[in-house]
Amino acid sequence: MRFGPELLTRIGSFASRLSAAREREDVARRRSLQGEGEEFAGHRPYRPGEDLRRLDWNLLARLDRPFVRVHRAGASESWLVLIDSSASMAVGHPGKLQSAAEAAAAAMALGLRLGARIELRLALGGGTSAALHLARRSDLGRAVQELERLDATEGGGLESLLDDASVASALGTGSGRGAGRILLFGDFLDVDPRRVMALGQGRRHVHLGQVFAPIEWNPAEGLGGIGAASGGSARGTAAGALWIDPESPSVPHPASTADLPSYLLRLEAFVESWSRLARDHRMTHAVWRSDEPFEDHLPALLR
Amino acid sequence: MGLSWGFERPFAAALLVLPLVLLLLSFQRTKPRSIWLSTARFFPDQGQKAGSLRRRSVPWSRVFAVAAMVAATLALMGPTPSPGDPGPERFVCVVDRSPSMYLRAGPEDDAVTRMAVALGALDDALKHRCQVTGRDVELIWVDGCRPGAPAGPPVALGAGCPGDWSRAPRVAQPEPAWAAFDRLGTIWVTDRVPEDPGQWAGHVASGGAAVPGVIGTTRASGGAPAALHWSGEPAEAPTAVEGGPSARVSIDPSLPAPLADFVALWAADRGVTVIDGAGGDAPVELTITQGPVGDSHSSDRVGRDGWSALVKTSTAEPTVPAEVEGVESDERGGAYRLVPWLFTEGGAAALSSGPGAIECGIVEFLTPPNDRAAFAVSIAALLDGAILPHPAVVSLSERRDAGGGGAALPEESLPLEDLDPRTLERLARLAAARAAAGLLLAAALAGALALWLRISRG
Repeated sequence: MRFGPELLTRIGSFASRLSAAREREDVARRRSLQGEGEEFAGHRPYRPGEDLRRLDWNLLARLDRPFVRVHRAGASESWLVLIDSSASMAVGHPGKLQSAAEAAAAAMALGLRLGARIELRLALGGGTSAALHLARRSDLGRAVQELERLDATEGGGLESLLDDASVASALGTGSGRGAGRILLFGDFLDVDPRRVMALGQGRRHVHLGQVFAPIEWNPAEGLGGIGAASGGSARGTAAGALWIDPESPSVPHPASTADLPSYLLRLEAFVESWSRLARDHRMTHAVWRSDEPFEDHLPALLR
Repeated sequence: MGLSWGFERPFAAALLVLPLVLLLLSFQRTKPRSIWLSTARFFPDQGQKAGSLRRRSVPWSRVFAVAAMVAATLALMGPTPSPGDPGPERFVCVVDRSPSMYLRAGPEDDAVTRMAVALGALDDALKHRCQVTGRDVELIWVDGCRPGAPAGPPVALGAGCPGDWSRAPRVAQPEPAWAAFDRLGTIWVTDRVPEDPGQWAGHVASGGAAVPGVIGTTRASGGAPAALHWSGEPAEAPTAVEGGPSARVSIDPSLPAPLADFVALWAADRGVTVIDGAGGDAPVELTITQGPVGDSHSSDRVGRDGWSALVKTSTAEPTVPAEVEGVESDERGGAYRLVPWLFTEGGAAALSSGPGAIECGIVEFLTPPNDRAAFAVSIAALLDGAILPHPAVVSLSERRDAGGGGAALPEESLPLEDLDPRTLERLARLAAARAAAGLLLAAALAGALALWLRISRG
């Protein structure tokens, strides 16, 4: 994976823009990324139409100018970010892992702007994981460096991360408070939904970022244009092509365009099941293609 | 005779490389291309179709294209029928048995005959061909002077021609009409290379220098019999030499008197030596025999050329006009028909004649010929026509120089014994044309089908 200067600029811009928007929403609707605490962050000039209850009357009396108290949502909050780095995340151009890492980095940049303490957990394969603790905005550079070294490997899935003891501790399954916000990025193909749903206990916020490669949405692209997946004209078999699942490469599947409609129905049902589960458990869920910018979907995921 | 296929342009087979390469590329593409897809599990029945992938890996359009290219290449190669079983090569050897073939080939008196030289050259040429082709050779001998059935079944090379062909036939034969033997697998065996060597047949000629000698008989200035001698020089005219070879006639003692007396007079006039019929087995130039006499006789009137006579003929079954078939050892050289020359009123043959032979069916002249002069002229003509020349007398044309000789075997051996060359050639062309047309049609159909499949697949 590679995080170029342009991407870092995008991440910074996104975090700045979204944090400002959150602040306005916090002020306007009192709907913020409320977690375990809401910290006073300072004052800013009053804008017409704002709730007068947030007006700082002391400053008004002292300075004769209207200021509102600003409370930074997420401040003092603990975030846990988990990225699926299983072999299946290597699929696509750009790869799903790249897209997930970009989204995770952008989310972490936002969290740091909001004053959250972030723990980034990366699967190293073989059931082990590495943790990176971020508290200041300057820590984002270290996170990016770690993400650049991340590879899609066997055994690097969300399931293995959830099995990790240290991750369990970070989740607060024990006596500790645990993370107030958990962000998971991956394709969710190899994780038990029940384990994910179990994360949403208490007031914890869980955000599920699900990413798929373009070819997974339209496998006909990989067959050299032999029929479109949704065009209804695909028929027959693409000569000499096999679908290879990175998780089980020894069991190839013939690349039949005739099966694409059925495939798409199953894939959509799979995504819909995750969306429904997230809604039922008060989680947020967003799904996108790996070639789509994270800015299009991350705001909805982090709302 | 079975036919197998050969090709007129076998070098066109190199074009088979193209469909071969196409086929190899097709097989190369059967190695499936891997497309990584982590959601492959959502394809239904993935495992059940994996086995069928290889069978359908080569598109049908490619198969038809390869078939079309192969068919077109085969058509370009020009398939044509060729002898299926190689076996031994067979040649028909048409042998010239005219008198010149039995003259000596060289100037020496003890030189071998032109026939022996020609047969030796034929043997050498065919042995060389055996070495080149690796196939044995069988020969079918045909007497070119008397075309008809072969002299026998095919014989192996080296077995030689029929035995009596080494000696000149007693009855001189003209040179074969070579054009009648211009066929595939045919070899002309002669002494002088024919002016028209033929289109399909080959030839083996012995050649040979001019052979001086007697070319005919005449009378000297004094009326005595003489021989016409040729010196062998083309520019020199023959000269009359007294004496020379004298023809011989053998007379059956039981011939009726008027006929026997006249034959004696005729022989004396012609300078022919008369030999008693029981005199020996030496070959003579004319044999006059008495037919079967039997116990009962009938009287009949016979007549010809202005004379007639009452004669007594035998009621025994006459040998005439039956054919007198010569045997292999017959000095006359084979089968000759004695043709009735004089008939009775009842239609029976009273006198029959052939080359070198006269058979008399008259037992007795009951009355002398009514016109003795006419009788003499008529019988003299019979005797003159029947008597053969002396073996030493060979015509001038036969004695001339036969050139240097040479050998040119036909390119092909006998292909189909029962077909003449033109029919065989038409058959080969027809078969080749049919095969080419069929293959081109197959190529066109295959190409059209391949194109249709490609279009239908969009």
